[in-house]
Formats: sequence, C-alpha cells, structure tokens
Amino acid sequence: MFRIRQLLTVAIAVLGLIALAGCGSSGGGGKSGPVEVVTHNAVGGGSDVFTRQMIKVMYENKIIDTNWPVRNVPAGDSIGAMSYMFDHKGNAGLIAQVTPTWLATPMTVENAKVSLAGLTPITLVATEPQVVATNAKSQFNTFADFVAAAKKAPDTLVQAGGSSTANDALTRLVLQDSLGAKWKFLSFEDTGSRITALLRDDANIMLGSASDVAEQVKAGQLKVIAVIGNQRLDAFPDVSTTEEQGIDSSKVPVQFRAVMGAPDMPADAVQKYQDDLSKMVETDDWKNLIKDDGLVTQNLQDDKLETYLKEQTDIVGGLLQGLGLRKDQ
Amino acid sequence: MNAVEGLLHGLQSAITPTNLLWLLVGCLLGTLVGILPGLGPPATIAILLPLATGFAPATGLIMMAGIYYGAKYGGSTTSILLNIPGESSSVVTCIDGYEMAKQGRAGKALGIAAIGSFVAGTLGVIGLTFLAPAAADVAVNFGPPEYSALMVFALLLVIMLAGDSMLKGFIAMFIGLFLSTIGTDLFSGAQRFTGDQIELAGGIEFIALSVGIFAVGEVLINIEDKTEKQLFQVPNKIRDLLPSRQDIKKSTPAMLQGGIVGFLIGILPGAGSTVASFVSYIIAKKTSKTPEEFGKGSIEGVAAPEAANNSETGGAMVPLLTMGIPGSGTGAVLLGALVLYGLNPGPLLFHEHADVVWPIIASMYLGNIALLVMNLPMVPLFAKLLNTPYKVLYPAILLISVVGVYSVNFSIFDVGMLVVFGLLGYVMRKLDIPPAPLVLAFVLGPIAENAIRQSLLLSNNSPIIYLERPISATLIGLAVALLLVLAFGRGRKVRDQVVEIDA
Repeated sequence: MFRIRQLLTVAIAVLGLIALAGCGSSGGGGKSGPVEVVTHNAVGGGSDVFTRQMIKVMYENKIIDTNWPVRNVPAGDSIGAMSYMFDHKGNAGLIAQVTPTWLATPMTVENAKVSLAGLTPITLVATEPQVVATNAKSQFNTFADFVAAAKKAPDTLVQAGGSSTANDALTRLVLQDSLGAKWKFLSFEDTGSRITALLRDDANIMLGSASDVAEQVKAGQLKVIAVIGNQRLDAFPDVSTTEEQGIDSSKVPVQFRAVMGAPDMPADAVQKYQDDLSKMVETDDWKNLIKDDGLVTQNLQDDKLETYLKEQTDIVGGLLQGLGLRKDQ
Repeated sequence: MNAVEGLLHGLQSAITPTNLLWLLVGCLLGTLVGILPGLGPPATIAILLPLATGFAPATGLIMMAGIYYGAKYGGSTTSILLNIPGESSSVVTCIDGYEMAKQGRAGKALGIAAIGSFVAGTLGVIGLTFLAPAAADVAVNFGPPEYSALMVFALLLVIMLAGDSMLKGFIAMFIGLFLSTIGTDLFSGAQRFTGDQIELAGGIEFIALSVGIFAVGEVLINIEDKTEKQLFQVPNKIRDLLPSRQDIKKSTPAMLQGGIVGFLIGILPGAGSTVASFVSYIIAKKTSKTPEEFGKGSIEGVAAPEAANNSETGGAMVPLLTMGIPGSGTGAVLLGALVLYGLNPGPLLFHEHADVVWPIIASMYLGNIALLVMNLPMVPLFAKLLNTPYKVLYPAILLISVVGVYSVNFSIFDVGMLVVFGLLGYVMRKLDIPPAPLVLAFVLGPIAENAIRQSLLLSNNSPIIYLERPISATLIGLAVALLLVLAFGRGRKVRDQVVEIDA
C-alpha cells in the first residue's frame, strides 16, 4: 500500500514537472531568454510560421545569437497576445509579430483595455498582397472577367473566405462598393476548406496570400487571376495586378507583417531591433522566403511606419463601422 | 513510384539509428503528453520545433508524427482510470472504460485499448499507404451540404449514447449545442452569449468543459459518500490485470470495424476522430452479442472507440500529405513544420519530396509496434494506481484536472470554467442526465452550424441542396431511417416499461 502511495506521489510529481516544462519552454515571461516573440496564432498558424521563419533567417545568418523563443497567445484573436504585451510594459526583451487583426479586433470589443496604439512601433517588415485564385478550369482569366460576370448576375457568384472581419472579407466590401458589383461571401474557418470549395466549384474565387495557393497552382489545380494592388509578385510574375486590369484598389486594407515592442520599450532596444531587421531583409534567405511566401519587403520605420499604421487604422475602422461591428467608440 | 516501392524505400531510410532513436523519443513523449490532459500534441510539437528544425526533415517529421499518434495511445489512460477525457475523441472511451475501472477491470480496459490502438493504428497506416489518392478525392468532395448531413446523422447517433432515456439524451445534447454557440460568430463577427468577456470570444475551452463535466463532476458526486472503503477492487495477479485471450477474441470485430470506420471518417478534415469514435462505438453495440453490457463496462465499448481514434491518424494524414490541408490542430502544426523545412506541402508533395513522405509513412508502422511494446508493460502499473485510497486519489484527480486545464492556454479564467462545469457535471449526475451527449454535441455544434449556414448561403436558403448532392442525400436518408428506428424501438421500450409498472 505504502509503495503504491509513493508511486502515485512520484507519478504526480513527474506529470507536474512535464506541465511546468511546458510552461517554461513555450516562453517564461522574458526570463527564459533575452528576447521573446509573441504571436496571436496557435502553433502552425500563418503568423506563427512566419514568425518562426523570420527568427530562423536571423539566427542562421548570425544576426542574432540565440534562437528566440516564440510565445503563442491565441486567446481572444490578438486581444490575449496584446494583453500579455501590456502586462510587460517597458520590457526590452518582448516583441510581437503584428498583423491587421491586432488593429481590427480591439475595435470590435466593448471597453477593450488594449489597442495597437499602446504598443511600441519598431518595423513594418513586409506587406502580403492578396491574390485572387480560381479553379484552373474556371472561365475567369482575370479579376475583371469575374467583376463583369458579377455585375451581370448580382449575388450569384461566390467568394470563399474567412470570418466577416478578416482581410479578404473587408476587401470584398471595398471592391463591391467601388465597382458596383455584388457577390456572395462564404465563410470558412481555415484556408484548406476555401481551397477545396474552389476545387469542388462551390465557390468561384478566393482571396489569399500567394503562399496559400502556390502549391495548388503548381499542380495545375488552381490559377491566379490577379494580384490586388499595383505591384506584381515575384511568385507569379505573369499575373497582372488589379490596377493593370483597370480596377481601383487603393482603398483596400493591406495585410501587413510588422514587429512591435512592449509598451514604453526603451529607445535603444527599439534601435537594436530595427538594425537587426534591416540586416535581415538584406539576406538571401529572406529574399527567397518572401518569394516563396509572396511577400513584399517594406522595412518601414519611425515616422513612415506611424503614418502607414494610421492610414490602415482609418481604413479598417471605417469598414468595421460600416458593418456595425465597431464597439470602441 | 508506386505504393509498395515507396514503402520499401521509405522503410530503408526510416531504419537508420538516428531515425529510429527519434521515432522512439517521439512515441515516448507522445505517450506521456497523451496521459496528461491539457498539454496536447500540438503544444508539445511546438515546444520541440526549434530543436526539430535543426534535424533532417524526415527525422524531425518522423519524431513529430510519433508524438501525434503516441498521444493517442496515452489518451485512453486518464479516460479509463480517472474519467478524464483529455481530447474529444476520448469522451466515448470514458463511458465503458471508467465503468470497467470501477469494477476492478481497469487493466483489461487499458490493455485492450493498447491492443486495439495497435491493430487499428496499423490499419490506418495501411489505408494511408495504398488508398491515399482515392481517399483525397473523397475529402475534396465533402462540402458544406455533405458535412451538414453528416452532422445531422452524427447528432442523432449522439442521442443514442444516452442510454435509457432518449429525452435526457436530448436535454444533454441541447445544452451542449447551446454552449457551442458561445463565442464569435464566424459569419457576422458578432459576439454571442459572451457577456463581454474577452476570454469567451474564442468560445469555451474544450478541455475545461470535458474535464469539468466528467472528472470534477464525478469526484464531487463521490465525496458525498463519507466512507473509508476502497473505491476500486484491483486484482493482485498480473494475469488478471491484462485482457484474457477471450477478451481479445471478443473485441476483435470491434477493433477491426473501428479501424476501418476510423480511417474512412478520419479522412474528413474537421470532426474526424470524434465522430469516428462514437460511430464505431454504436456499430459495435448494435453488432455485439452482448449489447446490454454497453455503458456498464463492456470491453468492446472500449476497443471500438479507441481503435477508431487511432486509425484516424492514418486517415488524417491523407489530406495533409496529398493536398497540404490539415484536418486537426496537430495536423496544422505538422503543416507548419513542413513549411519550416521548406517542403511546401501541397498536391505535389508526394512527387517532389517522396524521400521525406515515404519514410514518415514507413515509420508509422514501426512506431505502432514500438508503442504497443511500450504501453502493454505499463498497464499493470497504471491499473494498480487505483489501489490508492480516495483521500489521495480525489485530490490527485483535481490537481491533474487543474494543471491540465491551465496548461492549455495558461489561463486562470479556464480554471474558473472548470469549476463551473464541474458543478454542472455534478447536477447532471444528480438528475441522471448523461454527460457524453453534451460534450460531443459541444464538439459537433460549430461544424454543424457552419456547414448548414454555408449550404443555405450557397442555395439561397433552399433546403433542396441537401437532397441534390448524392453523398448528402444518402446521409440524410440514413438519418431519417435511423430516426424511424429510434422512435419505433424506443416506443416499444416505453410501452414495456409502462406494462411493467402496471403489473
């Protein structure tokens, strides 16, 4: 009897230790290393993978000397991650990889105690222009074709996408407004379901990053019919932009990838991160990465970054207002 | 490269000392984290990612896959011993597994879970090896109407888990469906029933709900009895701690059936393992020679869902490896790992990176053997843990529950939810409302709601869409037939009961 009791104690201690080890390695509140990077995605999500890719490039090019740990705080779709940053005010070792979700989500929550404006801007590393993809057998060869068809038969064509506040959904609102066309929006939780919806012909188009669809395009299952914006992508050099197709997309919210620090981060720390990131975007590994991921290097810092964020805040804020989802005012 | 050639090549490169070592490490780690609820395979793989990305891709992925299916072997342990389902696919295992533990047959339950996991896990990998391209087609053709129909069918089956009272099954299911609506609505972005609690914006944490209702509820109801007596009778002989030859013979059809069902349903991204676990449980019950034992400690009732749960891994790897589409949380992490290795998961993965894909598949055969060898000797040890007096065991269960729930999101709010659901579990036991339909409906609810709303959006609100597509029409037909059988069968039973009371 006594032995069993001992055994149980040991077993519990071991299980407890495993749990503690889990807490420790997934990030120990700035104590586990000099720098910790927060993302609002669970492991494997787009932001999480990009964050790890970025760290890998810096580490392998000896820009940083430790492999910075990533802390995943998926709770509340960026609110949890931002709260974690706010809890560590002034911490020079705490940065986050920020996307437009960090702008939008606090606007949709009543009495949110956090907002992107409270974080310390460091660098807007890159933007991720959306591409328009269809089934490879689709009759649409440009986005202009799709728009023309949508004008002829309003509310019959279908765009597969994410939640109603996600970037692709907001983009649709802007485009529908400026083009005077209407089409349906089918929400799916994950990118995989959006792709299979195209393959099944349940949906006609989807908007996503180049990396979302690159493999299906290579396999001849999907085709890309436009890049949203005015800049062609290295990943799809032959695909024309929406501007080239005569479609105004200047008011479309942009998917960006920025790095921001904990509130009140000391200026010298900000400068150090800016230097590291400026070195990173010059490496060959980074250039390969953005080609694969369909990103465009920006490296915006200081005033330029603040102006850019303000512009995007206004665009996203206005769109959410229009949807009746704005709760922060 | 055809499947046999690929598999042989894969086997060759899987059997290097390095790969074997990391395969064993993965399986062992998987088993350990599977035992503890909370810190699941995705979090474990995440912790190991920085280490694993330093390995050759095949080696790292072999280890990570080992964690994935290793955790499924471990997952049954707490379900059977302590009534703690660590993941949604273990909920069904609790029903008969914990009953068996209460009867002093925990060792047999754990043993059959390990054997069933091995048999079905291997079946699943065989399916993955030879049927992947065909299976991928099925996954693509499963759209919103098909999912809607599958969910209607599945929710009906959930009620069948209720045991004697269909009404109480309905009540439990509706509470579960309601709880699943809490959070941010995918379609409108609106917050539903969150009471402005940001912690609820992403919905209720599954582990808090399931562990609260099952484990904490069970502890609460048992501490009402102020006895000093031992809770469980545990036999002393090792031979009585393992399944007998007859147990294995009796469970074989359930294991094989669970293996096939698990693979087929596991192919579908989303609900795979959960749906597979209770579909195979119900098939086992309906085809069993002793259906009356189900719910009261039937060994087949453990073998079937555990088998289905494990062969699901093979099924879930199909969309991941053939299309780059992850079917579960762990699948998403593995997808992330593929990207970090620069392998670009997608339809061409099998062609462009056969040197990585086939060793992973081959290693899954080896891993399943390793896991059986690792897990069977542990069975008597675990089973003897139940000799512990309740004043030690109950605090231990509560401790494991709290640590497990906290470690999912490192959130104290979730621990609060655990308490709330513990009380709900207690009240439900007092009222004799079965917990399994609630927890399963909670898992299926969002899939059902999204699929139904997506379908109606596609068809401009015409329900005909469910009958226009062959797969969904078939499933709806099955559901209607099931409903008729259910109503008719139950009616007779109620009449019998009335007659008994009259007499």
